[in-house]
Amino acid sequence: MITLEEAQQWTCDACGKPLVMREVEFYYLNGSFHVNLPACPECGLVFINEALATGKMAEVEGILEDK
Amino acid sequence: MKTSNPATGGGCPLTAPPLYETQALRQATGTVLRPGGLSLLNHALDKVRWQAGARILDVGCGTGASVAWLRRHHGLQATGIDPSRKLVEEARKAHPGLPVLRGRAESLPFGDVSLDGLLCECVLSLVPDASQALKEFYRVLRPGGLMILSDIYRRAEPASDAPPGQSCLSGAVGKTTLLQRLQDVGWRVRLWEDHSLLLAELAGRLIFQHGSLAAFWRQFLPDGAAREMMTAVKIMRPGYCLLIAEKVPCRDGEKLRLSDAISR
Repeated sequence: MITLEEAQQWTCDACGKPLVMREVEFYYLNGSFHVNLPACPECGLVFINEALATGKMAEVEGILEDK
Repeated sequence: MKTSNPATGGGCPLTAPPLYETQALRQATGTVLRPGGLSLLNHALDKVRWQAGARILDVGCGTGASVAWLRRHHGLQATGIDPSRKLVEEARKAHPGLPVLRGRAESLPFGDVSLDGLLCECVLSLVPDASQALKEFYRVLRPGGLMILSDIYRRAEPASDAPPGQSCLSGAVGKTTLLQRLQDVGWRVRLWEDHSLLLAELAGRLIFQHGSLAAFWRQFLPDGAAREMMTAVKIMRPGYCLLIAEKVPCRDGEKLRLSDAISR
């Protein structure tokens, strides 16, 4: 999972604000998950890095898709 | 997904400390220690429509979350029983005055036909002698009384390649086997619902919290056993079910008391 220090290295391109860790709710195939992820404190855009997308999220998708 | 042993009171031999005592599981399930939390219980309560004041027993009550919920929000005369000293103490601390006892599912300290309803949530698969437990549940319930049972079950039968060790996963059986066990005792199943999505959601939370399911299991199992667990789980395709069963009256002519709310 991305740490606060890592999140603060990123800045929202639209708002110019450094990202902060925020609880985000994912929805996928009727399943929902609360996860702490970096997000823009201004517009709320969430940053999902490649490791998360191809790692945890892919594994969760596989389970929800009953694969 | 509890790993206490309702029959012996011992912890899961896979784990030290037992899985249910770890923050790893608590973070994903909260104090209810099972998929679905209280939402599945509320769904089942809508079906059984127990009247306020009804005498209800929660077998494998853990930290007492369901017992407290039944008493406070439904006016039920609920009691909990669990073999784990730690969980019973936690229940009493969290809910002062809550009636929770230590005891085994196969040997309930209650008289015959002394209860109106019974709960057994994510517990039966942990009981070494599930059939004996079902007989005990039947004995203590009044004729026409209803049991709410939720548990992990195998969506792929037969039961080969069981997960290593003793846990709710290794003790899970298929739908056919579970229904047969109930029928053998005399239970009449009034409702069967699949809620496997709740188990998938719990698995998803564990993945997000620990990086992967393999990483979660490696906290409790040697690396080889963790891999074996992952393989076995994939084969058994664990699901989660809710069922409501009725104690069919004895053959002495007592009349059935069926709830209109229960659908087949």
